[in-house]
Amino acid sequence: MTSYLGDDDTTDTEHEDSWSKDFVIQSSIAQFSFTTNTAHEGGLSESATVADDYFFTSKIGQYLSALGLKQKRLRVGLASSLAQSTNLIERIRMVLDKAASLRSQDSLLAAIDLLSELDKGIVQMAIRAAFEMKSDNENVAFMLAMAAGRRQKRIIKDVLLLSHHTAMREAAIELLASLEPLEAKPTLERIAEEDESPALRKRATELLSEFD
Amino acid sequence: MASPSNGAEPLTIRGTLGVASGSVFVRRVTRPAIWHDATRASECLYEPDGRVSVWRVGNDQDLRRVVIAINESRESFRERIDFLPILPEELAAASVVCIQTRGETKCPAAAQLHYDAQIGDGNRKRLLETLLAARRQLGRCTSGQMGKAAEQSEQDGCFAVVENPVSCNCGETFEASC
Repeated sequence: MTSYLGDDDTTDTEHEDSWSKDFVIQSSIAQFSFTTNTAHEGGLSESATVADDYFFTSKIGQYLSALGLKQKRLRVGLASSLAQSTNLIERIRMVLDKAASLRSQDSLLAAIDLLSELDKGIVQMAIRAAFEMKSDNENVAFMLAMAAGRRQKRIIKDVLLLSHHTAMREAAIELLASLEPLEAKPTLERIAEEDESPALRKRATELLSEFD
Repeated sequence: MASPSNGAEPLTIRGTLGVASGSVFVRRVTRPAIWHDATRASECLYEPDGRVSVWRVGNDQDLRRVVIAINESRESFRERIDFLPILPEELAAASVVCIQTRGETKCPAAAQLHYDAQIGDGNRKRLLETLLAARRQLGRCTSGQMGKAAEQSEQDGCFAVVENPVSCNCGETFEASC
């Protein structure tokens, strides 16, 4: 079972959430406690997973709506929970989908900051998505690329900039601006002239002015 | 501790935000490129509950406090920030009401500069039209500028930057803020 209490600064509400989560899981266990056969044990495990997913989604909702230091406190616990998760890819997907559904600039950044703390999973997901023909939600593609590019700088040019998804190239442009000018400037110049998206050409031009 | 950022221009309302000095609201933007896409630009002003987090900046010192407060919750004080500047009269023209709410920061001076702008579908469209008509550009704080701002705030004794603060140049003392 995943723990949500990796943070000493958790609030009363968070403890209540944890308590009620335990209650639901224990209720599920009690509900099936008279059985011993394998099929019911499977049902028990499934109930626990559903409860776990429910509380994870609820925690993500709280985190994505929080701002500033409150958000930072929640991030510590969530990042630890994600890192220990046995279904990491599904959990990353839940974070991305929830943040994309909110469509808020603050929530997008919160999701990027959370996913950037993951050591594994996020980079592989971004590489796969960059070359998939299926068009993901634009915000999902952007968050995924931003988080992955912050984890592994070499994929900015080698993967993200080559993607046919505009939002992934958009993330790559933002990430380029944080590289050394010698490395970033020639690439931004090329994007400013050649990218098929007018918005990305304009953004690259804006960022180039920082190197003047 | 921030690393040296000697070459960076200091943060100013005129230079950083591209608007004349004076009071201005700023909205942090995560996807600056969408501001260049007329079909997506309104997303910069969207929140599902209609309460859009903005900061009111009256002078260059306010601007520094606000950017430090924003990056206090991030991985590093040097993270770059993009802003949509909005003038008070532009909010008023779009009938957007701003309610002062305490910002989530250890800097008491910055916390008082935070507002929730009440923006729904109707006034968002009006506000967007006003900003596009004014050819509003996004402002941005580069990583170097952020590093320099963090150094200055550290020298001031800012509660958001210093680990065990006693007093800050803004006039706050640790006891007073607790």
